[in-house]
Amino acid sequence: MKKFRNPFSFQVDYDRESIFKVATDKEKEEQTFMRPSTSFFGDAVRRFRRNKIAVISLFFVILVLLAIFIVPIFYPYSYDQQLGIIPGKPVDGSFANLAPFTYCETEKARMAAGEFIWPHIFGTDNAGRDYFIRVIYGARVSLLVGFFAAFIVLIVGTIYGSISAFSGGKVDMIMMRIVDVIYSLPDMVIIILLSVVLNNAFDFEGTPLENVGTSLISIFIVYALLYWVGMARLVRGQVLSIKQTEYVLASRSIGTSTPMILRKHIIPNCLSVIIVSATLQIPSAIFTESFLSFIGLGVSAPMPSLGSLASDAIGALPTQPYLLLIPAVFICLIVLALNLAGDGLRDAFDPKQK
Amino acid sequence: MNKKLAFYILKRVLLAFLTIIIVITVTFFAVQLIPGGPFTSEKAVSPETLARLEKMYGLDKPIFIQYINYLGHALIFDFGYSIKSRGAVTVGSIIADRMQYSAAIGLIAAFIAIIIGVALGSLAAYKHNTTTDRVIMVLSTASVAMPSFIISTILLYLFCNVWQILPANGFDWRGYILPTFTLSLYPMAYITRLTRSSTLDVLGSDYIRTAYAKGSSFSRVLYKHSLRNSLTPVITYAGPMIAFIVTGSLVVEKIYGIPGIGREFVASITNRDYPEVMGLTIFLTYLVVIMVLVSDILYKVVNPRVELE
Amino acid sequence: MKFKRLPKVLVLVSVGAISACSGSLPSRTAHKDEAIYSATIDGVKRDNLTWANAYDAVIAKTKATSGAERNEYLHQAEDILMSTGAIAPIYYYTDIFMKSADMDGFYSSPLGYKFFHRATVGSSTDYTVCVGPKGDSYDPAKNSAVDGAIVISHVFEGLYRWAKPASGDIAADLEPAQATGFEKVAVGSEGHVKYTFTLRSDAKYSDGSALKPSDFANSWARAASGKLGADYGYMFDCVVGYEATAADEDKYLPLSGVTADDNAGTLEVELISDVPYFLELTAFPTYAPVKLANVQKADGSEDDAWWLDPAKYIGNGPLKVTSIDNKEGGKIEFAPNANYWDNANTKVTKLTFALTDDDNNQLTNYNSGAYKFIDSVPNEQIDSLKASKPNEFKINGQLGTYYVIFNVNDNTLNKKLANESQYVTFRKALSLLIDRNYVCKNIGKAGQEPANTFVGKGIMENNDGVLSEWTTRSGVNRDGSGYFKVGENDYEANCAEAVEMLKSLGFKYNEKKGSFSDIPTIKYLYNTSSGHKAIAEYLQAAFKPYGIKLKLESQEWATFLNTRKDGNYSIARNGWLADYNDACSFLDMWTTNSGNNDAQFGR
Repeated sequence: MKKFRNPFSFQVDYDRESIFKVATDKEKEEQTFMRPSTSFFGDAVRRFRRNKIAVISLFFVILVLLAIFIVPIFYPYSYDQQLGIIPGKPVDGSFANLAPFTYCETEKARMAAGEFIWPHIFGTDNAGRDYFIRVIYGARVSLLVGFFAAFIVLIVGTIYGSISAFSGGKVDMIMMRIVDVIYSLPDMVIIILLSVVLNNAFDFEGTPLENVGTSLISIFIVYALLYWVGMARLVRGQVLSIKQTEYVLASRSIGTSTPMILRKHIIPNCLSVIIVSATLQIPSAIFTESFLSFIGLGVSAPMPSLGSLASDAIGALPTQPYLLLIPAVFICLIVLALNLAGDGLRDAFDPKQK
Repeated sequence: MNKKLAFYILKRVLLAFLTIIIVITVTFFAVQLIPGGPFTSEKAVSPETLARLEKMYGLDKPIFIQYINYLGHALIFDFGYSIKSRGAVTVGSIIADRMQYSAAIGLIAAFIAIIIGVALGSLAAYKHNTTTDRVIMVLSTASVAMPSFIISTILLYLFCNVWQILPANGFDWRGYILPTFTLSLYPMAYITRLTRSSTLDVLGSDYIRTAYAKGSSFSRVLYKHSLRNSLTPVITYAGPMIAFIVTGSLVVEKIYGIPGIGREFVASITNRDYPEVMGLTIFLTYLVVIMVLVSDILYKVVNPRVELE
Repeated sequence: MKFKRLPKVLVLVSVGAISACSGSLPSRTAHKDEAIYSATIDGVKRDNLTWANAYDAVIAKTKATSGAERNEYLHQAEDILMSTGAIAPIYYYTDIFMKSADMDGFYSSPLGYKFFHRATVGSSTDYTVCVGPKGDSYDPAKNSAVDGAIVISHVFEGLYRWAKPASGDIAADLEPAQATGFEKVAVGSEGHVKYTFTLRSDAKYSDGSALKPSDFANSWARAASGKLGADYGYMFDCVVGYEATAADEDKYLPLSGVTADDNAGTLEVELISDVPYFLELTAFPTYAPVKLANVQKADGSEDDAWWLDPAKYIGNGPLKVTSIDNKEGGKIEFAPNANYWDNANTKVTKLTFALTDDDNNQLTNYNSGAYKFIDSVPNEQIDSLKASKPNEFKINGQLGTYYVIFNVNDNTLNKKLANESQYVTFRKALSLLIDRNYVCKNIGKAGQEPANTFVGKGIMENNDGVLSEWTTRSGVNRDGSGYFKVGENDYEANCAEAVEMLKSLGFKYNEKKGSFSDIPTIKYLYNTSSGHKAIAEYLQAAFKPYGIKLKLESQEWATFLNTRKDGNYSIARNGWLADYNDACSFLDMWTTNSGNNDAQFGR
């Protein structure tokens, strides 16, 4: 007997044969995911590569990194060599203040005699030193400061911030008050104090740190002491907010262990913020170094940094603008590239963008 | 709720006070540790004169007594006399005088930064993924890629030396144009980015979609729903930002020849003018702590969803 | 987890500790015991003297003698000083400034105190100049800075003043000012002399009140007193009674050698010896007459802020201050003093001093015409300014010397050098390796002259009426040849000599490379500033080919002064500007107990 069925009913008609049908193999195959499952990291890399500007920026940063390590190996001049100085002879002042790609009288004479003279790509400074190699060394010092400072800030800030967030209660409160105090300390006083104390306490003679100079090492230590607080606050805030999210609660409620929650939820979700803050720390460290050079507390002479080159050249702006503009452009490009690459990394590593 | 808020504010104020006391202590001993003193000069004064001068300014007492004395006075805002001026001016009057200039350029710069930053940021968010958006973002990234001493030097040279359309000293209002502009660049770029990303978050949220769905006009959505919410991060940032702009304009002050507080601070450290270093440190700490406090409290007030600790 | 960084810090600390320990060196006899100096004292040449027996004794002789005899002792002091090799003069300072081409009537004292009250700019008598940063104090007694002295010199006037030169910018002669003249007589048997000044009867302060001889006497007592503790109190050390006044901490004890007679209008001053520069001192800011009623509060205590109030900052000079805003970026305004005796010569109607320390900012303002005179220019632009504005860029001599100082107690080379005389050879060798002509021309750029004496160029000496420049009689033979040769053509020979000297000390020399292989690294200390840095970098680069490694260390100003004074350095930069035109100002600073004995002689 056939059941009556209202043709306008919305009820599912279970009697119709078409409603459940065994899928064909072809259909089954179509239903499987086309792409293999990817790790979080792989995903991020893929997303990063789609961002043209970020890739170009990263490429530029790598290029600069290569240049600052490779160029000094084969470059015929050194950063502290005053070309006019010949032992036993009066100093040849004509080497000073050469414009880019020009040669001084002495060099012209030697070239006329058939000798090959490596061109002064960016000219020479007022002490007759090749400016190109100084800029390369300056970039090296500036990036070293930047990366090292960012690294210190990253490590100290993350550890401190997460300990504070996880401990909670009194420990958290005390740790955060310490952060508040450090936040309000006058860094100028601390920097001057540290460079003096370090000068007397440490002697880096004979160590690889010798050339870097005490003042640069004090900059690192200042960074380690003062600038991690922003990162610590950030990490703490992130961890706290993620700890309270529904998915962590859900994860906890099904019995996931704390390390697992850390690995699966908290670290990936904090990572984006941490990475982007760390990359943005590099330009800020480069800026701090250049500011310190400006007020005379930067790297030890004759080692240059981009900031010290620029601040030494301020007075020469009307007469030899390139002495200021070249390091300025280098700072600008490096900072720009780091910022853009940092933005790209943030977008790529942000789980919310998945 | 109000009781809770009041308790929260009280707690924060007490903690801020504690912070200030610790900063005073740390700075006091740090400054004393730096070699050299206020009477160090190229032509050395005789040991007898030095001893007499130190006695005159109370520097011969044991350091701990000096500290207690100082702390007692500092807490009631009595910072004493500047030693470098040989007691001619009080540290308080130095702060008051230099603050006129620093506060003027700082507040103007902060105002410019907030207005233009919020406007550009919102514009970029509403025109998300268009050319306008990209131009604004590139500009905001590029404008923070140059240390301010280089920008200042180049602007000063162009406007005052080459074109000679602005004066190079801060004696009249035209002298403020370049410093405020330079000073506002960095926070402006930051606020632009902050506003853009928070506006994007807000625009993507359910209640905005609901508001549009029930037929609200664009401007109504903007005022009633989006702006208020997207500005909360800006508020948290603005407090400390104003404090830092006002206090951290050393470079700009030096290059444009403005008699501001940042320059005075560095000079006081160089001169080992202990009372002045301490006075300025405490004042600047107060400024930072208070601005952070105000912006935190403001944040809780405009954003009722935030749980009070 | 929090302690992960600790081992790294420990490594740093231990590296520091190890290198500090490995630096334990064989001890050398304390410098003060080394008797290696020679000096002629009381006409007898004596050898094997210690620093105190030689140098201090010779300086003491200069205080008790006068004329040619005194000059000879001064030369001898310089001989002893230079024989140590611890002072390596580099160049004599110059004073550079930029002055609007149409500024007329400007002049400067030999110490670099500029005078503008007689200067006009074209037809303008109201203009702005910049002579330096804000002052620490414009109280004549407390000021010790040149820019402060310039302000004071416009507001106050001493018994004598620098006369506007007939040509050129630098005054050479003194002329009567608040005094109309003086008489000088010898007193007693100890070489004392007495000056009797007759004061101008119409002398007045700018508020119209009369200026009396006792105002001078009281002001001097105040400036010299221990109660005030002024930096330049010692400028009165040639006046009888200075010791007692300087020791009194309770009151302004009058100088016993100074007698004021207000009725006769005379001021008598007794000096411990006939110092040739006393008249010059009367033109010095510290000797200016302040109005004591304005300087003190009602209860007789010092009013530290009187000089900041134009109503109280009353002087007797050509100008008076109408407003003062003493800060970086501030300004001071002056107007003519209607009660000045010589107003016929005052040309300005309003003068403004802009106060700033940033030389780029100064130059920008000068170029825009806002400032008509600036006191410093960025070093990088000196060459182009010299070329483009030859009529405005001025170079004048200055009484001072830039030098490199060696700490005589330094023990960096103790493993290599056994005694002081070997150290002397080593220091002199380093000094010879410096190409001073290059430093002057390419680093200093401001027309400096290479120095081969410590006493600066421009210092005069008077030998029985024959006035001559000190440097023309410098050197052991008193023939002006100095203590080493600094001619353009002497450098190669100097280098060769230096190499021989170093070889004689037993350092290993590689003939092929032309360098020494076993000279320990030495630290060179300078204060943070682009000019000092350039010289430090030059020295490092110049010594490097010889195998002499300098490690540069820069310190912030006050730290640097402290380090150098305490003798915690090996080699350091140094500089000295004279307080008055006499060799004594360069030489009495090296006595054993002097606060400026940075070389640590005899300690």
